[in-house]
Amino acid sequence: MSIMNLISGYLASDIRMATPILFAGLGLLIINRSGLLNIGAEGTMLVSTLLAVVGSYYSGSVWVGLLCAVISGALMGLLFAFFTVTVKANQIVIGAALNILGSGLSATLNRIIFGVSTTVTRFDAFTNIKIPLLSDIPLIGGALFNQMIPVYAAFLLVPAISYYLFRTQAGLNLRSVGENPRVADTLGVNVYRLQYMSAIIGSALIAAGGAYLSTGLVSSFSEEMVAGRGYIALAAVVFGKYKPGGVMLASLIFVAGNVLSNILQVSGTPIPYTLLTMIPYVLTVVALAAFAKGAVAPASLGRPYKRG
Amino acid sequence: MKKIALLLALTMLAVVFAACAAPVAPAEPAKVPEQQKPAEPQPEQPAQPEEPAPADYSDKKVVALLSGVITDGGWNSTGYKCAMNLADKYGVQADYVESIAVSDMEEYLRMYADDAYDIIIVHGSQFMDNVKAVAPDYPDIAFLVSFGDQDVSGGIKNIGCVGPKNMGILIGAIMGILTENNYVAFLGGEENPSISNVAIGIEDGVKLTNPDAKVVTNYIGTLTDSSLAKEVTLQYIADGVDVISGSANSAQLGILEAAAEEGIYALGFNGDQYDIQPDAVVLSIMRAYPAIYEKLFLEIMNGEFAGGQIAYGLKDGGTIVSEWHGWDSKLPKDKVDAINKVIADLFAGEYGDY
Amino acid sequence: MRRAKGVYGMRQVACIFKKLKKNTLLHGVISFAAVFVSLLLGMVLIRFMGIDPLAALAALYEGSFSSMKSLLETTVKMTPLLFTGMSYAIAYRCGLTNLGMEGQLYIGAVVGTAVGIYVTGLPGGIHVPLAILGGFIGGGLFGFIAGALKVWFGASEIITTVMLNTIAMNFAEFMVNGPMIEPARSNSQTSPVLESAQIGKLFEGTRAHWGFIIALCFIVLFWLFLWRSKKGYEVRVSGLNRQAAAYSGINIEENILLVMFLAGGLAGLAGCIEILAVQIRMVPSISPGYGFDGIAVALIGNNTPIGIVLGALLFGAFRAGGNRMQMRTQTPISIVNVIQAFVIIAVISSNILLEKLDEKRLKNQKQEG
Repeated sequence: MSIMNLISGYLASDIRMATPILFAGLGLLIINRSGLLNIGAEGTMLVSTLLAVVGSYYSGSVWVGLLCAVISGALMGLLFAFFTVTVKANQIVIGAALNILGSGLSATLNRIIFGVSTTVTRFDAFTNIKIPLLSDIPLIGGALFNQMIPVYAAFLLVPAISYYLFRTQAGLNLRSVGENPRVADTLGVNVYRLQYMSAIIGSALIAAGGAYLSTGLVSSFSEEMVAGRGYIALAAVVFGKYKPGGVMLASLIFVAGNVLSNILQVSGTPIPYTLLTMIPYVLTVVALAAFAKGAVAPASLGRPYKRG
Repeated sequence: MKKIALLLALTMLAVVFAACAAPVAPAEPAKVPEQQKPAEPQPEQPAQPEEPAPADYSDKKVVALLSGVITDGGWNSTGYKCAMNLADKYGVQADYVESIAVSDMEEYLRMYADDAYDIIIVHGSQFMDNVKAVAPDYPDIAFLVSFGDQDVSGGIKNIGCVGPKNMGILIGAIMGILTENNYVAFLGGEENPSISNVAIGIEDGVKLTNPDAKVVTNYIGTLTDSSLAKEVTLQYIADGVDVISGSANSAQLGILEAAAEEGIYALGFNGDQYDIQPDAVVLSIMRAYPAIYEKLFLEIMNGEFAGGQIAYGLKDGGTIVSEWHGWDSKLPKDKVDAINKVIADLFAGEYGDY
Repeated sequence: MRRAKGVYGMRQVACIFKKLKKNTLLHGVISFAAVFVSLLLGMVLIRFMGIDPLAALAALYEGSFSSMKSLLETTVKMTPLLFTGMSYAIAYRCGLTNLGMEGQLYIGAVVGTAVGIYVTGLPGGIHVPLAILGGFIGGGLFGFIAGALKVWFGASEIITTVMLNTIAMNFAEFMVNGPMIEPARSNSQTSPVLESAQIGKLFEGTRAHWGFIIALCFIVLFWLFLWRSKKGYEVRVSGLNRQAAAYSGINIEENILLVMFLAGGLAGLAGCIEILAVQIRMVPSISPGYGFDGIAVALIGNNTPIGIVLGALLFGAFRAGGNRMQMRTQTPISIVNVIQAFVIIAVISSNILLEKLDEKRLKNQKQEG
């Protein structure tokens, strides 16, 4: 029983920790599929972690917080789309600029709104919702069906986005823009509009991941709390072979590395913590090496499209 | 053409390397200031009679140089409070600079020294080399480095190595009493001097009050990722830990939140953290840096400052404990009494020279 | 024959020079305007924080360009940026995106420090180059990992380099807290590198050091390699069009491996020289983001040697002046970040505007012709 509880605990931990990466990964997937390469997920998430707290704190509802975060994400997406699609600037550098902007903006706004030495921890946050019956399944019930709403939402988005991308005309259009925008254009697809849409919606999803980080996983904002998840999501998309299910698996496996390093640490291993914290990253690199061969990036990923 | 350019670039490199090697600094002039030095501190001494009147310090200038941001809820916000405390109480002009890299520290030190600041608080022992390089050129300015564990001033009279000592003993002693499962943990953010000098004493402290208890001191590997810190803490709690403490700047928020969620005891650190998680934080242990720097400030103003190691052990008031915030009526009485006693005894030096 | 060639060369040079002059002025004006506009935006933000924007601007100028001393300070900040900028640019020229400069920088610093501490008994003329070589090879091998993962396993270097950053920084922290910790001290720092391995100052009493000159030498080498060597030509061709390069018999895989090694090596030099010349010993965090700034430095400079120098100058000035701005006006460093983001976006956009103008002019010329 105790072992069962432990395993169930690890599984629950894995799932909730994977959720922000999953949100960001799904958002990036949509953006990537339209041929845009956005490395600015980290900055987008940083701004949204703060705005989720601000929204929830002032309105008293975590949903308003989520809405604020998502809007901030959409705006960051709009910014990205304007400079990469309309101005046709190099996508890497605009993404890098978004990261610097997000880091600076979240820290600055935090000080303007909450001041220097207060830590705001009391505001409406997400709580676990137990799904009746299902949560009583032994071993996996507690882990899978006793989570917060954003967790359910993130995992339900996986089949939804999968359906959209591979079973609908709109999804086909999006993919064709990422593969060959010129052909898509001649077939009557509005390339620019689709890229704008995907950047905005994708960034909003990335922001939802940030919101869950500060109003779900923990209930507070602190500077740089995203701690590299935006970059990990980037890897999850490649590792997941540009498919929603793959992204889900990738984020679960990466976080499993985290959980493993935690377990090793608690068990009192003599390995220094600096090496333990490397585990998830080494795991990702190894996994990328092992599985990357089959991953085919959208053919025009990262290349600005010039009409005519 | 290209061969010539290549040759040119390579010869340049060779010349540069040769130039690097040559000792650029002429050795002789360095001796001159040394001879002048002993003469200088003396004129300051007659300044003492001013004492009785509440002195006007508004023309004095103090700066705190920090390695991180003042909103980290930990080491750097403590440093920030030191400077602000002096501004509030004595009306000095107090400034601060955040997020200074080791490579930039010397530049800052020289700028503030040239601006004739009276006290420069350097918050972090990693800056020691920079301070040693600058301090001899400005013998009238006090350079206070926040690191009291060792005297690393190198005999330079206007450098003080300042800080509390043995905080870990106190934290461990309190945890040893609080635990029911005989299993406690201290989680540091990263292994840097300001955190490891606390972690070092934890085990000895627990042994003082509870020799049977299992003690873990470990590092999470982050100072900012509060959600990761929370997960690690939850793992420890699942493993049986029932009293937790930590020092991890803003990642500390995650440690406290995990404790509150699972209903175990936690100790706050760096500030009175009761308000952050009132259901978990029993007591907070704080570095008395603002008070220490206040005391030093007055000493320096009175010309009593002599540099070297200025360590404040538990019995010298280097560490302060928050009030109970009502926990003394929530906890079993024998535990409250035992904790009160161990704090008083440690502060009184009953357990030896901590 | 020889003479004719010379004349042709001269004419060509004159032609290029004429064109350059016309363009440089315009380029200069527009880039300057871009920086100006983004500074203006930043000042508005600073005003919102309740800080006097003019005082902040004055401090920014004071810290970066106002005097010989601050100018020299700017060169100190420029040095690592020149290297990381070159690192990004050389990979970019080969069609690769190296985001791993920060990690390569750390590995270069660790190896350079190790050579500087543990190799003893050498005269300075040998020790310094040896430590620098160590830093180059260390960073290079770390960059090579990303190249190898791409060539042999097909793993995108964009992702692997980012992952390797975290691994490298953790490794550096491990070394500083473990195998390389200064004996007899419990602090997380190494011993100082031996005096024979330290890079000297350019002028006594300032922080400007010979590493800046080394960096400029490497800019020349960078130019020679990419634009004046056969290998560099191959690299650039594979960057422009990988398929065409493959058809013409260029071994792309070999080039990727070589370029990632060189890129890693250049970033490694940034860390290595920073230690040998400025910081003297290694602590867990030695770089305030020089690696990531390298991206902006290279791209603002269009991945050209001169452009990288100008980009590094801009960002070096920002670092030096930003420090002063924080000091004089208590402007939080986070605002400096925001302004930097504005600058990147504005300068990149202005570059594109210029390209469009050039295109238009070319079209007009064609029509006239």
